[in-house]
Amino acid sequence: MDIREKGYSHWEGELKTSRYNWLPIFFNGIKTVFKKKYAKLIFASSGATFVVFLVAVYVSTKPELKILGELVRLLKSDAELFKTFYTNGFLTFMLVILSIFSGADLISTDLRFKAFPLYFARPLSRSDYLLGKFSVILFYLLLFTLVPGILLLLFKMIFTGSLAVSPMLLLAILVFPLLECVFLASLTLALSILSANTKFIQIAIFLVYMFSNNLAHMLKAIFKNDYFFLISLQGNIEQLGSFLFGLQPTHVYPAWLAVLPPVVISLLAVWLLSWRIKKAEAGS
Amino acid sequence: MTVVLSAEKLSKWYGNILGISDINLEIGSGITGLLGPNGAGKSTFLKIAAGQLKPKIGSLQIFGENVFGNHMLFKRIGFCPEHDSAYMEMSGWQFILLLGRLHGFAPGPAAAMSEKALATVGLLESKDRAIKGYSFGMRQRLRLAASILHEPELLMLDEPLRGIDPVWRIKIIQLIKEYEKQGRTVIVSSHILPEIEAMTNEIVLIHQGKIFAKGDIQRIRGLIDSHPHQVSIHCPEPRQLAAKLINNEYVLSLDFDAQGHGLTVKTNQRDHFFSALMRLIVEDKLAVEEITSPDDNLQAVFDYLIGK
Repeated sequence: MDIREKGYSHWEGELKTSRYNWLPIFFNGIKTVFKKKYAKLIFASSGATFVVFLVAVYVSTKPELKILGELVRLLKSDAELFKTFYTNGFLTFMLVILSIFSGADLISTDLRFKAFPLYFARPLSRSDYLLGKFSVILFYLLLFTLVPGILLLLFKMIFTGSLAVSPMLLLAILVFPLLECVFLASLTLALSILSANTKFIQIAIFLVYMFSNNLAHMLKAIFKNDYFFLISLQGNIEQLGSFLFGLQPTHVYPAWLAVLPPVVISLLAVWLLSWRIKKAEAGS
Repeated sequence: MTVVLSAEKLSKWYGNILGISDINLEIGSGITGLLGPNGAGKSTFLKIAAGQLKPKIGSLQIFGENVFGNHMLFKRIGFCPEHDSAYMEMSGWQFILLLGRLHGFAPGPAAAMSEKALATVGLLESKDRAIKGYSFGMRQRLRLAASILHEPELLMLDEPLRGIDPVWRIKIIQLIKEYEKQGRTVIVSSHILPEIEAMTNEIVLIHQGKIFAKGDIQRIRGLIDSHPHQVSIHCPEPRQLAAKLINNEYVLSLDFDAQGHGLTVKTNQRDHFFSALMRLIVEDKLAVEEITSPDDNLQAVFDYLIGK
């Protein structure tokens, strides 16, 4: 009956796993974001803070120059300089815009085009998929935080002619942007999975940014309690910066508490993403 | 039989809606047609087989390994889903190349395989156009290219000829047959009977989420006792032939056609009847112009099985 049996070739090879299965998703995401309309404008705006701080660092080493005097006076210590660079309102705003620009559509597009089978009918695990998507946002966020932070440190060393840097400051320069970016990337991806409508996701991310801060201010005004800034995206980033750079806390509550919201939201986001992908994969 | 796919007590339902129920099935190498009307459970079965869905009950193994969550197994499996799942803004080339990279191929080999796959389905010339500008048939061919890109050992195609023009329909059928010749396994689903008949005789009939029959079409037909075989004989002297056949123990009934040029015999022992008929033709020198079996095809088998 089964005359075709003799024609069948058995597989005798070994199926190898790779830790880098997510890389094609990462590279494709990077290219896609870069090709988007307004990409260069957003990148240039995000890089503007670095240019201003670079000039300020240069001016601080040349007392005869009178430009950016107020900023130069503000940056009286290295910790203050880097904390202000990382947590200033404009950069935080641009990071939110970058998150929206690079990440809002990452999973919502897959939902819209029913693209999960494209990934899960291939040798990719759920974590490969999520890591690939996550790495795209993280790349662009770190490009405008960690990279300019390191460059700023290098330029400061060049301008002052001194290689001296405190290990705690160096650690803070590296860890703060990582924490901040992981937090923003997790939040963006978690919101991205909520709808196939990218516009809705974009608005949702922006509303979280706007209203979390406004709500914190309102609650603080009503209850006279600074703990409400734990729910503010911007307030929490400032408090986290104060904690990691060893500065006076911006708000009146233990600065270390500021680590909790990003960690909790990131963990929740990972759980939500895994659950949603598993649900899509299992078709239940 | 070398078992490529084996399902045991496989069931899947979506809330209160039954997808498939208690399917026990073994599929060997070659082409197997999964046949059933819309909503029969073909796509659900294929999605489970392709690891897209998790069965509620039972298990499904391919090449002896469980499918669901076994991502590395997909290096050996190609799945062409029924519906579009492509990024419409991408060009055909970018899309296929991305899938090649997702399979783990380095950029060079991925490009070579993508080019080969697109050429196979005739999309090489339109590869730089955005997918949203493709016709339905072109998108269907693109899905096929995506499923054969990595040259899988097992290819599963869900309604692969839907929306395809007649020329490419023939070419795709040839491609599927070529896959079989190369020693690969192909499982192809369709609700269009002639499509399946053009590819294979080995079928799995699925209806209301259950397997109704499996095997060679003629063999399945032979097992349906409740519906005797019909044999139509076209000849100049049908009554003379009828007189000879009436005493045959395998003949259940005889009907003459309205024009008087033939008769239809019902028999429950087709092979024995044909032997007897051939003997009559040779020994009694009866003139017979044509012998056909009007219900010895997939449509009739299918209709009988689902109780039409």
